[in-house]
Amino acid sequence: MENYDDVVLTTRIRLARNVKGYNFTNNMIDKQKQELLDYIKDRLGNSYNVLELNNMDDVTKKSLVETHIISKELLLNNNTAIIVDEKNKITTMLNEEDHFRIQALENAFNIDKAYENIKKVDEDFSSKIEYAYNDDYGYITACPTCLGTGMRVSVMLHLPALEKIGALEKIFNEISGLGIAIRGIYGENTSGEGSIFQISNQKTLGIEEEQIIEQVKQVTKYIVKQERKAREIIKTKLEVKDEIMRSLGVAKYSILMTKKEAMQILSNIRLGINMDIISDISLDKINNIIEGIGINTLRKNLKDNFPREEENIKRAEYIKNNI
Amino acid sequence: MICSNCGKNNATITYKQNINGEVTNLNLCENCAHKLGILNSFDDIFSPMILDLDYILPEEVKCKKCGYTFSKYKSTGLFGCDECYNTFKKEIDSILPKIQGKNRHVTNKSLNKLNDNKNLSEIDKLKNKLQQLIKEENFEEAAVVRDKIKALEKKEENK
Repeated sequence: MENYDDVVLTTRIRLARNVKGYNFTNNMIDKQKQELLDYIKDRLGNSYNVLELNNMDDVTKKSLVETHIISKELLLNNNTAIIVDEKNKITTMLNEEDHFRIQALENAFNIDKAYENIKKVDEDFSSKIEYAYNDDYGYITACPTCLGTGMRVSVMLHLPALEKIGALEKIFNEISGLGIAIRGIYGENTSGEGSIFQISNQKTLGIEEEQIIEQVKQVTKYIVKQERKAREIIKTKLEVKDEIMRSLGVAKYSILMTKKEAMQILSNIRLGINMDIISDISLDKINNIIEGIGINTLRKNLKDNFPREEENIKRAEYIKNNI
Repeated sequence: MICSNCGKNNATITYKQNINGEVTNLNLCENCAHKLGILNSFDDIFSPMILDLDYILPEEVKCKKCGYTFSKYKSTGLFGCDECYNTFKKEIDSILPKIQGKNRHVTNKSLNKLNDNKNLSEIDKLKNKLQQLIKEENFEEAAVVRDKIKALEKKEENK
């Protein structure tokens, strides 16, 4: 498949599943949630490592949210757990809104790989645990917005050029009504920090899994095409080149950096790399740096539980040392 | 008519109560009317607020497995258990088209049947066309078809 990593950061597929016979998470007391966790552990046996969040330190948990491995909602509940399958790049959240939220995460636009991996894990789980399912509604979920396939496919897109030429709204209007939702990088009700946006399918019922994937693929390809066109338009502008090179200067020499500024600076540098304005930094490198700028991810990677007042110093240092 | 309170005896008394403009008719047998204090005195008749309303009025349907009500779904957006989807099937089938566009799950097989159906409504035909146009990346025409669907759906709603 064609390479889309100039625009696509990551691709994710999520399946919502519930265990037959148990109330949904929102309708269970802590003791019942723990019983469900114990039941799942027992059924899955030794082949999966179930990590209970009650036993995990705060920095690690919050860093998992910052790096989009788990949702922030998972931290609001007691008696939750995750199952990490590093080989298949699958993280399963237990006792989130649904008993199982299985997620496949891939770099760039490896949507088929994500689908292949998640199907394997889902089939394996369902051979050990009976899911709540019926012919009318498919997989039964706590919220009717996830019914049917229980599948949400989302793609994280870097759209700085469309944003700079002011064409984002037009593009978003065009694709709304095609069954695709758009939001900022931390999910619902967040803005596109660092020109990063997430698109995902709205409907999960009355549509097949393969159709959902196809739909997200087509819309992604369309947006990528438009972003590339926009990059061609701004490529010759000195102001844009200047902004990108100044961003590189800030990244290399700052002493203090807020997260918001870091997102903006790194977004400009990423654009510079993709427009061949910056040639000595790889795309992988900048993607990794973007991934690491959250306060808890900094604490975790630096192995230093620094106080909040030092956040901006540590972030500027981290970016300087890694760029 | 059977007494709406005990459900056994014949109802001989019709008791009309008006609470904040909401009028309810209760058909009661003499026994229950006494028990509920309706026949005790005129005072009671003119002050129905002292009645234990929960005791008389029919309760909201509860999921027999988890106790959830449809109002609870409306306030939280979530159901309580898988059985809720049977208990509130009628309500769910009517809200799903607004949320999901459809109210039935499809698998490979059922979808093929749907596509073979020559008697598709105008909207469904346009929806199929829309899918095809998206596949072909013909977004300009897709936008036109999308607007047609929207207009038709609005017309349907106003019918």
